[in-house]
Amino acid sequence: MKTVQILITIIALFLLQFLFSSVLNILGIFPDIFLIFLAYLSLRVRPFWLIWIAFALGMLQDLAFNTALIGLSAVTKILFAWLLIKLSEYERSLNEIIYFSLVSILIAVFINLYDVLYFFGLAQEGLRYFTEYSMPRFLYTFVLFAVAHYFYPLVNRH
Amino acid sequence: MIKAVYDLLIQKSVQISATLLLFLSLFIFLQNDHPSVRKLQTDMADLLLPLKEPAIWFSRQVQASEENKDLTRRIIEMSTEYSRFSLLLEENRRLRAMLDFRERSPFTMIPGLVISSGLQHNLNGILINRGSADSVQINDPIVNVDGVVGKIHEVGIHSSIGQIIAEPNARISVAVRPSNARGILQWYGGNRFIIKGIPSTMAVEKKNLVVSSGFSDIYPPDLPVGVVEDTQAAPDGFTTTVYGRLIVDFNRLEEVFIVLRADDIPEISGARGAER
Repeated sequence: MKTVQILITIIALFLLQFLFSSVLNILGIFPDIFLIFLAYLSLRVRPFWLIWIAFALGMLQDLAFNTALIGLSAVTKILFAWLLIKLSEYERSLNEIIYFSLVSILIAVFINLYDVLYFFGLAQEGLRYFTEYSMPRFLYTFVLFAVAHYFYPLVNRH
Repeated sequence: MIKAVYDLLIQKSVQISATLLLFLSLFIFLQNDHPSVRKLQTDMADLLLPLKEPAIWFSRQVQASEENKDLTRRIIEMSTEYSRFSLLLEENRRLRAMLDFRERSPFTMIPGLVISSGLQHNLNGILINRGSADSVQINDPIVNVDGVVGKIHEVGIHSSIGQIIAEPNARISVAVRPSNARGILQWYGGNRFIIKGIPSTMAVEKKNLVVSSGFSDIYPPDLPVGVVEDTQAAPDGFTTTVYGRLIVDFNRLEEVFIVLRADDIPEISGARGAER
């Protein structure tokens, strides 16, 4: 994947999430489309660049959407990218569906990890946020990921 | 070497980048003033405390060891200081006693320090830091707060040699109080003296004070010399021999007074020649 393409995509996704949040907003739930983007990039760019892109996206997301906890998205996205790199080493030996499922599980884990860390100091409300926010956010992100995968397969073996 | 490091950096670039960026993100994350961050920091501290305790313990041990060395050094210093102050206190006490003695004494006296002792082969002497420049003359009596020490034997310009009474050649005319029995006192070894020829009719008892009689052109009267410890009848049957202890501790002689002979000191020539 060319650098220009990546930059354009990042800008497009950022604008989509930042300027057209009302379009993506469903009952106060926003998907994390950067996670989907990183999942796609994991099979299309070199691991070194994936780590840096994950860091840049995370910081961008924090600075734009969550100034109270700057660095949290960067932490989770770097870890997510690292696990994607490790998973991509088995991409050829795994079934396409299984691979997609494993990436989806990773997305679920990291959406919840983010929320767990975010609501860590508000432990009494943690469970409520999990059911009312984290889980719906994952489902929303997963649906988008599935739709994207349908039109633009995650694993392109052709 | 440099190439090997470079190759390693290239080979592990992903891991190095991921680690560095992760720590950077965590560092930025932990700078936030947010309840979640505070809770996370306190929970991490609780979690890491058991791991930190041995390190803290070791650090305290090292610190305690250093403190121990420092305290030991300070104890030694303080001990030395205490010893010095004790000496100064004792010296102060002695000097105060001497000052008081000097003020009470009817004689003209100048204070002197004993610089050394045992100077001459045939004389048990002391070296005093006073000489002819201080009006010191031969045969001037030497006393201290306790009593008679001796007399000036030789005089220099700024120092003198004193002959103490605790030596074989010394003689002093004395009187035993309260009977006023008179005799010639001689050293009898150690810190003891002997007085021979006291008439048996004179009542001399143990613990009687022996003072200078004043029958001398050297020692003024009534200067304490010793204390009677024993009396024995002489073989002639008419006299008594008195044994006693000298008052002055000659082993701890540090400050003395030299009694300057004044014109108004009564001189009784009767005893002249008895004292040497």
